[in-house]
Amino acid sequence: MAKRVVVSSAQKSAARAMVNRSTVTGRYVSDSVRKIAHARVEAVSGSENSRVSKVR
Amino acid sequence: MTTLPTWSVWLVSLGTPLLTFVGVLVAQAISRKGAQELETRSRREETMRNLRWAAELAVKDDERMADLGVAQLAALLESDLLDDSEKGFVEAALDAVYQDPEAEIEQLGEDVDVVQYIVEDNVVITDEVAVDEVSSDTNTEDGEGGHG
Repeated sequence: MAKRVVVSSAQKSAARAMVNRSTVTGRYVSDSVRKIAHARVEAVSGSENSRVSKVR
Repeated sequence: MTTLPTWSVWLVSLGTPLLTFVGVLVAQAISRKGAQELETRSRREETMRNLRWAAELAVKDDERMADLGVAQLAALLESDLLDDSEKGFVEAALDAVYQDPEAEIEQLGEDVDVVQYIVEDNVVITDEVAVDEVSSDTNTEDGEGGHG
């Protein structure tokens, strides 16, 4: 079973920016960075408490 | 009495204002070039300040702040304000953002599933109203309690 690594949207965006940059400069980008850039998006349900805190 | 040849009279009478005009043009060009250099320098300083600010934001724990920082860094990377040597600083800042998951992925090897969670709010609007009502009821009760 594959182990799961959770990344934030900022980390994914940063990796994507570097992958895009590498297409211009030709700089090497590791597979790990490419995996972060293409991270699968998974929706999770927010708890009621988190919503309530936003309302307040 | 000294007499000048005709051509020298024409040369002096036309050449003097012409030379003055050319001198003014040259001075203007030099002054403009200096102003442009000053503008470029101040713009670069401002861009480097933005870079520092964006880099600090990008590594913050607050996700919205980090998103803003990374967006700024990505914009700087694509802009013409920085040259290639300065864009190296932006790349270094972006590298730092995903350093932890990158190391984790390299440690885990090939069999790894990289996921980004997006929180869905599934609470309906009536719940928000309920929260407001509760808070206003609580205030009313407090107020009544204070007077009674």
